Amino acid sequence: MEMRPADLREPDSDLVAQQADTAADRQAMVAQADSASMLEQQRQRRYLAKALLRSPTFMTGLLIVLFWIFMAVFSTFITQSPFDVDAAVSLQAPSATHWFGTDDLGRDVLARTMAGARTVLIIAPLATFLALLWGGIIGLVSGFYRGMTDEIIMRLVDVLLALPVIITSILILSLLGKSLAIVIIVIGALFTPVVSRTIRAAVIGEREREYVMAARLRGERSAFVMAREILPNITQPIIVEGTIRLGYAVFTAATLSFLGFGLVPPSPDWGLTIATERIFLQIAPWTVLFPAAALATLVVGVNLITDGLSRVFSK
Amino acid sequence: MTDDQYRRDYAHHLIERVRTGQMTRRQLLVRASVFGFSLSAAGSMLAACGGDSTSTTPSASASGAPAPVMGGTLSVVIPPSLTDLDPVTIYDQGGIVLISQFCEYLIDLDNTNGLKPKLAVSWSANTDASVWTFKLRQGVKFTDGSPFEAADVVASIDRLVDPKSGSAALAALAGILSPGGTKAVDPATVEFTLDKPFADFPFLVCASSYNTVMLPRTYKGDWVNNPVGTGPWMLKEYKAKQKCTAVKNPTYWGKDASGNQLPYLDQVNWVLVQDESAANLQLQSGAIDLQQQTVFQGSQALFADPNLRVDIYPGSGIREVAFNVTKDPWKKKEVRQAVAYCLDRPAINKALYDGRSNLGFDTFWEPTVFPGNPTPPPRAQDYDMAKKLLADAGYADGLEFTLTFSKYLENPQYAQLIQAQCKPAGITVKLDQLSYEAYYAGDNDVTPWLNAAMTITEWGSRPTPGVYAQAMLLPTSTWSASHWDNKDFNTTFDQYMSTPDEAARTPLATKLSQIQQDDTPILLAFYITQLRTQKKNVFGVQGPGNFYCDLSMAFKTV
Repeated sequence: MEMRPADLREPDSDLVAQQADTAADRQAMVAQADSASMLEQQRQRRYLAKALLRSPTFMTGLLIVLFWIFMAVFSTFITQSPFDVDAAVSLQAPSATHWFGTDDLGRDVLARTMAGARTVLIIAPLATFLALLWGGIIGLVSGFYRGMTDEIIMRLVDVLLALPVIITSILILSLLGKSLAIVIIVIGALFTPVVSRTIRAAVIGEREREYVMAARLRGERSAFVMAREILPNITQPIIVEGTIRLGYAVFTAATLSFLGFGLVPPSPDWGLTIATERIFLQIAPWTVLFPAAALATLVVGVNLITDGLSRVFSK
Repeated sequence: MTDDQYRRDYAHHLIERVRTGQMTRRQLLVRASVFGFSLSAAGSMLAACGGDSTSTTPSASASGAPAPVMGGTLSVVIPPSLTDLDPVTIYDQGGIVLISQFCEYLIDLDNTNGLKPKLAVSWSANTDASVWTFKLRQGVKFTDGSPFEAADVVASIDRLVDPKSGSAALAALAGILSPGGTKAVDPATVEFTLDKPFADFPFLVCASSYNTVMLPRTYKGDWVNNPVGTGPWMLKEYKAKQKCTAVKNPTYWGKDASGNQLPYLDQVNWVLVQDESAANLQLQSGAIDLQQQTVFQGSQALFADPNLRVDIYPGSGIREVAFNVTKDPWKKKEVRQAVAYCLDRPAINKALYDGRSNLGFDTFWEPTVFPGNPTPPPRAQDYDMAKKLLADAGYADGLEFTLTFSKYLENPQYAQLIQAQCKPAGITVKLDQLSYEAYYAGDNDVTPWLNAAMTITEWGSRPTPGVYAQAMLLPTSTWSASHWDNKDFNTTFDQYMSTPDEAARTPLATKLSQIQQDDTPILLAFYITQLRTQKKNVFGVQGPGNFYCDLSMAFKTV
C-alpha cells in the first residue's frame, strides 16, 4: 500500500512544545478566570446573605414562615390531638384549657390551627416547584429560540393565562377527583404560564450577553447553554417569582379547600376549617378567626420574604 | 258487618284501650285519624276516655296567637329546588315547599304529624285494610277552572305509581298500590284497592308523601309554564334558584273556623337561598319573615335573637346510616352491631342538636317519636361488646371501611363523630365526602347513596314507622340503601300492615322492632326535632316543621 507524504512527515518538536505551552497557558487562564468567577460568586452570595439578614422585611417574613414550618412538623408533640372529639365541650370560648377555644365537635382549635399548616405547606411548595419546573423549561425554550417557536409557545401561554385559576381548578378537580396529588398538579399547572413568561423575559435579557455568545461559538449544545450558562444567571428573578407564586399557591390551596375541592373532613386544613366552621361565626367566632388569621400570617410571611428578596436583589 | 258498625266498634275498642292504660291519648288520636274519624269525633272519644285532656300537644304557633290580620306580604326563605318544579318528580326541600303551596293533598298533616282532612273529607277501610274508600270535598276547583273530582284523583295517583314516572312517590307506594288500583266510584268517591293490606295507607297519600298532590286529569307536565292546582296560592313568577312569587287564589275553597276566606295574606315571596348562613343573616336583618325549616347547626344565634321566634316540633326526621349488606364487611350482622355499639348517642345528639333531638336505638318503632310503640332496649356505647363482636366476625385485628356522605346539613359532622367513636374499637373509618349533586347522581342502580358500602342519607320526617320501613327496609323498597332482605321481618311487616287492631299490632310491632335492632341494617342514632323560625309578628304557619307547611292561615301583625 502506498503511503502518503503527510503520514510520513515527522512532527515539528518546537511547534508541538509551543502548542503545549499555549494550551497550558489557556487552561491556566481558564482556571484563573473560573477561580475569580467563583470568588466573585461567593463574594456576591455573602453580600446577599448579609443584606438579607439585615433586611427587617425579609427576616420578619422568614421567622413567620419558619414558625409555621416548625408547627407543621412538630405541633402534634406540643398541642393536643387535632382530631380528638369531645361533644361535651363543643363551641367553648378560649380558656386556660383550650387557648383558642373548641369547635363544633369539641376539638381543640389551637391544635387544629397549628396542624392545619401541614397540608398547606405540602401543597403550596410542591405546586410552586412544579410551576417553576414546567414554567422554567417553557420560558427557557421560548426565550432562547425566539422566532416562530417563541410565537407559538407564547400564544398558547396567552390562552392559558386567560383561564381563571380558581374556576379552571374546580373544573379539573371535578373531572379528575380531589386527591392531594391532583390538587398540587392542578395548581402547579395553572401557575406555569405566569412563571414561563417571567423566565422568558429574563432569558431574553441574557441570551445576547457575551458569555452566551462565547458558549455558542464554542459549539455548546443549546440545552447546555440554557441549563449551564443562562439558568444560573437568572436565578434571582426565578427565586423572586417562586416566592410570589408560593404566596398565591397558599391562598389558592386554601380557597379550593374552602370551596370543597381540596381536602375532606376531619382534616384541620385551614380553608376547609374556615368553610365548615363559618356557620358558627356569630356564636363562636374563634372557630374561624384563628385558622383565618393563621392563613393570613403565612401569606403575609411569604410576601414579606418576596419583598425582602426583591429589594436586596435590586441593589 | 257494615263499615259504620265496624267504625263504631273500633271507636269503642280505642276508648277501652285508653281507659285500661294500653294506649296513650295521642296514640288514640293518631289511630282515629288513620281510620277517618273527624277531629270532633276523635275529641268525643277522648272525652269518653275521661281524665286530663291536656296531654294532646297544641300547635306551637297557635298558642297565644292574636286575631288574624287580612292582607299583606310574607317573605319566606327556602333552599332552591335542585330539580325542575314538577309535582311528579320533585324530591328536595325547595321543590316540595313550593309545590305544596299551589297544589293540595287528599289528607293534610297537623303540627304533630296527625292526619286531618284536606281534599278528602273522610276515609275508611275494609276490615283487613286492603280497600280504602275516600270521600272527596265538593265544590273545589283547580286554578284553570275545572272542577276537582274523583277522575282527577285516579289520574294523579295512576301517574305516580307508573314505574316510568320517576316519581319519589314510588318509594312509598311501590308494592302497595299499582296502576289501575285507584277507581272512581262516583265523582265524589274514590276507592283504592291495594296490592296488599296496609293499615297506614292514609299516610301514603297525605302531605308527608310529597308527590301525591292532586293535579287535573288533563295535566301534561311542564308545571312552571302551566301552573295548576287547587291550593290557596297561584304562581305569579318563578325564577329558578332566585325567587318565587305567589298571589292569593281568589276562588280558593278554604275558610277558617270563623268563616273568613283563606288565605289571609295577599302575596308570598320566596327567596331561594342555598347557603344556610346567608339565610340566617337575612332573617336576622329583618328582610325575611319566615324560615320554613331551620337547621340547628349554625342557627344557634337565632334562638337568642329578640325579634325572632323559633318553634320546635316533634319531628321524626333521621340521618340513615345504611350498611350495604350485599358488600363486605357488612354481610355479617356482628360487624354492623359492633359499629352500633361504638356510638355514644347522647354525645352525638349533644354535638349535632344541642341535645334537642330524641335518641334512636336502630329501630323505627320508637315510642318517644311514634307514641304507643314498644320501647326498644337502649344501645349504650360499649367498646368491649364491639370488640367481642368484631372478633366473632373474624375482625379481631380491627376493621377499615369507607363511609360515603354528602356535604349537606350536618352529615359531615355526623360522619366525623362516627369516625372518632369507632376508633377506640379498632375500627378505622375513611370518609368519602361528595357534593350533594354527586351523592344523588345517577339512576338507582349506580347512584352512590344507594350503592356505596356505607352511607349517610338525610330523610325528612315520616309520620309512622311503617312508612319509613316501607320506603327503605323491604326488598321491594325503592330507596333501600342497605339492600336488606330479612324474611322474618318481611312476613311480620305484612302481618303488621294488614292488622288495623292496635292490640293485635303491638306484639307485631315489638317483633319488628327486635328484628330490626338485632339485625341492624341501618343505624338510627337520633330522631331530629324540627325547627321553624319566624319574626315574632308572624302567626298561623301550619305543618309539622318539615318540608311541608301550609301558609293559608299565616298572617302578620303590625
